Amino acid sequence: MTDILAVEGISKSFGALKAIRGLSFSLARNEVLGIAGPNGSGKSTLFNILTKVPFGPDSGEIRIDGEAVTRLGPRHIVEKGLVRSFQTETDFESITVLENVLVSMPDADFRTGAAAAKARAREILDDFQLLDQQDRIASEITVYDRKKLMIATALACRPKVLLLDEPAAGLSRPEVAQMIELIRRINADGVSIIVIEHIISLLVSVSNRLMVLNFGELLAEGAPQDVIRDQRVIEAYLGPAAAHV
Amino acid sequence: MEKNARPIAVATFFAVLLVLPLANGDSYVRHISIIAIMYAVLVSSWNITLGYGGVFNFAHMAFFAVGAYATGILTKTFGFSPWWGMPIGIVASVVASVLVCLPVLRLKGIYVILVTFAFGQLCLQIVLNQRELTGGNFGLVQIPPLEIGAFSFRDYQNIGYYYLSLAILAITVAAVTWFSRSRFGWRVIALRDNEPYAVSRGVPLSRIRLATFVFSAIFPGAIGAVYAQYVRSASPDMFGFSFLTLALSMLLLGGIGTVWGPIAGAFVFTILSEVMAPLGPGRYLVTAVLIVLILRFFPKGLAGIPQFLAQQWTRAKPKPQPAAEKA
Repeated sequence: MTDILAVEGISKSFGALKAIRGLSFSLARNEVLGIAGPNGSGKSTLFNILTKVPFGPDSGEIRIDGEAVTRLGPRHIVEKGLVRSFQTETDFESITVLENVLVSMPDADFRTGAAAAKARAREILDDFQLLDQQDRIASEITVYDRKKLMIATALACRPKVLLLDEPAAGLSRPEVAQMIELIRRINADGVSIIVIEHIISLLVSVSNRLMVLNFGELLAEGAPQDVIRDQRVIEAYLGPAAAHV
Repeated sequence: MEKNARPIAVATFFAVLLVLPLANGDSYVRHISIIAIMYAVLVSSWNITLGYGGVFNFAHMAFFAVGAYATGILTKTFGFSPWWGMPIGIVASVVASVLVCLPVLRLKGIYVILVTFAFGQLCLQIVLNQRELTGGNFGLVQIPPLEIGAFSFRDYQNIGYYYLSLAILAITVAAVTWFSRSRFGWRVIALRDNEPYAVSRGVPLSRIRLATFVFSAIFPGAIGAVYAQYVRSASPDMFGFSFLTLALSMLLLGGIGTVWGPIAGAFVFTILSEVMAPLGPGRYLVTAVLIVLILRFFPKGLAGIPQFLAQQWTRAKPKPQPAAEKA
């Protein structure tokens, strides 16, 4: 598998606090990479600096499909195919579910006309079982649907790499199971994924590889079942019970 | 408002305004009607940046004044035909909007207010200092009116200006309605709702903000030109704080982020001000209390009243009895 995303020596500091310290990793095409780690270990900061929403790295190099994007602005990074979701459900609250997706679609989707763009937006919503809510104002739908809508808008951007930040946070057990299926389906459609999550069962279920961060540094990396049994990971993050997931 | 009732209400609104001059030829009523229509255009277009865009653009009234002065200077001093007035006003207003937008492309909140308000004050200083061109403190007077052959737009109690202003209002309403339903409008609203999220979905912040300013500046430029030709003058008061706060009150009272709220605000406020004219300075007190009361009970402004009434109507309607109970 060729690398779709390559990150070399990226760092980010906030005053004296070093949030990310010279982190390097890569993501293979069609791979799902899980990221775990204690609160404050720099997981979400990593997504922030990869996408420059809202800030970029202090140093280091990021390449998407072999092309350096470190000096590009956040919008151009999206155009190159790196798109993120956020930890809490986020939406454009005063427009409809359909309009949320349309806003997120690239200009190219509108070149063949608004009708074609709307048809694509409805296809995306149908894939996420949100089509029957297309005309509802986004802030009026349930938390789980808002989470799905956020991921749907990310897919509307036609990403090569999708960054999912705690997609299962706050969901019930059946909803977590549905989210696992959703992530697998997105990946099966050819989108490479990096997923941050505290729910280890989800990470083990969907990830080809698991990476654990601690204090902004790589603590462990490898096959998910091996990583969750790693003594350093158990001591720093999981605790003894998690090794039996 | 119910979706099927909306076209009827819109048609009624414009029909009433269309026949008003035929039903009432009084010059005072005509003047108030023209001013109310002009305010409606101004406030409705300000709603694009302030209401839909959430950008505290306090230069909007300055765009109106720039349009009026540009029209006055070029048609009076440089001999352009008065029919060039509106294109001149639009171009001047759009250029002004680009100038003021560039420094605020990436600013937020109070800093946008500071820069845009300062722009108006800067324009005012230029007007006061370039008195040979602008008339300084006294304003620019004797601006040539619009005429078609022997017919002046001032004839028949300014009927020409009335219908021209009404036509601009109709175009403004159509444009704002299109905007609120277009991809452009959704992107503007998206940036207002959640800027970082919009940027993370590839919405071009700078390009959209600039386009919003330019689009909203077309209408004050057009109506500024017509205003200058109607009253045949342009005065430094047009850059003033009281004019700005009056228009802002209309916008907030009517309801921001809606097509019809600002228009309702403009008409209600203009008519109310005239009705309360005998109260003298006391009318400002009454107006302030009214604004507080309306916004207290209808936070969405006048635009929220039809929705409130519809809810009350739905609640008051007797619910159909279940079949078992009927039996």
